[in-house]
Amino acid sequence: MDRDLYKLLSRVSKPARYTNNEINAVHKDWEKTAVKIALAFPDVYEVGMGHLGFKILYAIINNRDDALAERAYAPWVDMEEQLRSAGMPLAALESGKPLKEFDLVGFTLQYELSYTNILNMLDLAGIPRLAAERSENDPLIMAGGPCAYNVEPLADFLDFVVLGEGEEVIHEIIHEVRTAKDRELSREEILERLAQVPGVYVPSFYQAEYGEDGSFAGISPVKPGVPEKVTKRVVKDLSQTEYPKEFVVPYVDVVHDRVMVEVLRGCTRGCRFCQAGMIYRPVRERDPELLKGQIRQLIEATGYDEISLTSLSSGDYTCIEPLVEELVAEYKDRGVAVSLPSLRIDSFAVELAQEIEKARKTGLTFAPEAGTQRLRDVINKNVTEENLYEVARGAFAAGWHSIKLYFMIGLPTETTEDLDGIVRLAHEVLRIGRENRTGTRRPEVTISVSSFVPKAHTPFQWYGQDSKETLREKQAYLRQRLRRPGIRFNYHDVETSFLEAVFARGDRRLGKAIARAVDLGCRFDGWDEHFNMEKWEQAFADTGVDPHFYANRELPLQEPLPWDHLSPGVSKRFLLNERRAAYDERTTKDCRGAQCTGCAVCFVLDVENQLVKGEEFHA
Amino acid sequence: MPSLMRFQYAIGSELRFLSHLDLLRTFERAMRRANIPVDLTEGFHPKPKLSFAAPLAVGITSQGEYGDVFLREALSPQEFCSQLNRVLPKGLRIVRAVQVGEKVAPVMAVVNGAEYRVELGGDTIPAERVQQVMASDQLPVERTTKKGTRLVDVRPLIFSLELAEGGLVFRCAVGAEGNLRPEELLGLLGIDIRDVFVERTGLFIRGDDGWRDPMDGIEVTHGN
Repeated sequence: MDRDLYKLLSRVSKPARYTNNEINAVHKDWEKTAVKIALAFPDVYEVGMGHLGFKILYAIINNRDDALAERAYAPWVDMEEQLRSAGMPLAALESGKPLKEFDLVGFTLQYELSYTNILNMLDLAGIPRLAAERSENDPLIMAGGPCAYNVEPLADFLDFVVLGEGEEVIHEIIHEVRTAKDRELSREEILERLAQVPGVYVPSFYQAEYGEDGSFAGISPVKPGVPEKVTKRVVKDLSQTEYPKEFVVPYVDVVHDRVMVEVLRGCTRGCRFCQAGMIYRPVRERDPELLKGQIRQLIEATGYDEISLTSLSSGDYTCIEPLVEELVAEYKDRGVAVSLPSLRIDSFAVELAQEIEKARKTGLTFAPEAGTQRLRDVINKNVTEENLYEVARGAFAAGWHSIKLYFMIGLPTETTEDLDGIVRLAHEVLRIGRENRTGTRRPEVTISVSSFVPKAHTPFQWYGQDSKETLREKQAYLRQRLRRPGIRFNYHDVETSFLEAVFARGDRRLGKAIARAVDLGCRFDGWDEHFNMEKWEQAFADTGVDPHFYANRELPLQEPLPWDHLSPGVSKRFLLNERRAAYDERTTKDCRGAQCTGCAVCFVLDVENQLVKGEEFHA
Repeated sequence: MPSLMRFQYAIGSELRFLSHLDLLRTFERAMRRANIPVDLTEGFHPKPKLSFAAPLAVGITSQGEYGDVFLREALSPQEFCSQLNRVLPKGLRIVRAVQVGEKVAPVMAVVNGAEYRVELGGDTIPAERVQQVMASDQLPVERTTKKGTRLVDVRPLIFSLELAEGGLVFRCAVGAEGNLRPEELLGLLGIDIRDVFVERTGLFIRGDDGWRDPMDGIEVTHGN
């Protein structure tokens, strides 16, 4: 390490996150590799290193002889200051090469509040923010991830966007970039070719129109041959897709720092507020024997002491019980624990959790989401009050002393009665805890309440978010009634939920507000210590954008939506039907083990739910 | 048959910014990758029985760090060294290892002296400055811990301080009974530790008969 770099790193917090050389990091020959890709995570290393999607892409790309993938993260504010004052550009970890020297820089869009970090990283890399201002020498800036399904607020900044799962399409993208390099094609020509790849969206090839009242009036291609609608990519068989044989093992403490295997992808429970449940369909389970082999390989390659079975709802995995039992038995004596990060509420989950040491330490978490059966029917959260009480009885009797319950406020049709329902559930669970406790510690119930954010491609996408004032009143209402020993009440400031709603349903006109916010110093908006609503308000005012127009307006059903041309395969007709069912308080069953609900994914994408053989599905 | 392995390791420039916890994690994982039969603690969340002497400050490299690890099966020190060195990252290396009786006091409890070498990188320190420090009866410095800031007299913690080729060499106290932070001494000499390379050249057991290597008197197998 040279002295200048040492001096710089000595002056920042947690310098080890910038120093590279982790076990299993891949260092390829820069000169001899044709296509160079930087996987850029718009948050700090400790957050980005936990992201499974990038681990998968990193492995797939680096497995190719003609391509390399390196990692880049948003430098923390102290490091940004050092880089700026030293005049050093943002670089990738493995080679230390500036991002500007890569062929492709791919950002993952995990959540709306990381948008400012994307622009800031481009600034730090010396790459023009606006796609239109980039030259032939600049890398292509691509993006993917859940927020890609309404990427319009970022349309000005991205050269192309990938919808859906990356395992297959990444090969096609590399092929196109390689061909383009060989033939010395222009940027425009490369993008034209990429626009022909299914799942790839090139925002600059589309033009949006607006009504006189400022409402969105539609978007259409401005180039011949560019598809009207871009539909996501999906892999048919999860057991046939590439999966990393090793993970990069960080030195510093990062999130999800463990072996992760993806037991299944997609969820068809059909919760109407949930974007993930719509965009990742259909359900595809991975073969349990394959999973066991992947785990063995990853434990050997990393030395981790924890295995996590990940998915949107791991308790739904057909063979979850035997799999957990076998894993616990196989790894117990080696000091390797098993964890299940997303367990759904039912009595079966308690039995499962008992198998898992980690859960005993951390407490159990359940998500009824709403306080009354009526509202749970509206959102299609098919959980009853009796389910919850049964779980609570089982958990306290099995020795847990603390239970955490997740709820949302601001859901469509919510009334005071629904808020009272949350209070009643909290008190009842606490009472159950006092009657059934077996341990010495006092029972404790944590009520965690978040504010509902309507998301694109869900049955609630038309719903205007509750005003900040209304949400604050609801928080205050609950706070007052949940103030008693044994109950802990958590809630989050409404400002960030508001901003999330603005971008979740935004259109291209928001781009200038994001750019202005970055100029005003906004970054790390997802971090409480950096989020600054005053700056955002100024950014909106300076650029003539009314954020309430995006967040709080009930969208007329006939109004075109800024994401109508970006399709996860779920039809708009299905979303409208589900919306109608919601307001009629009718539930819709999971299509696993029941009849088809007509969401159209299987038809549009030529796929189907793929469950492994095993026990009956726990509906 | 459980046994205790004592090992010396070196931390190179690549990993100088690891914290003590980072290092512990790195060793735990390396031992699992190397299939070292490490003994685990009891309880819900078993942890490897692994401990280190005198945590090294972030930013400092070292030639002489020491650790103890309990093994649940016999393993020769030679195998221990070679298996671990095969899987350790660049910047971390086992120098030597030795099997010790379980009655031997843990290395973290016996190590109490350290030697550091400072590479000034072109800067110089006047000899008078060094003499002044060594001639002082008291050297109060402000020390900030989790409990707050207090004045500590570091003079009794400094045993030697000499100018050397391109830098400084000093010996000081480490451990629970008195611990000098290298930046404190450098601060007294007007040097910001963030500007110079510091290396710990060794850890020792201070006794009436002088400074002793933590592995002295025990048969040692060198790593490769």
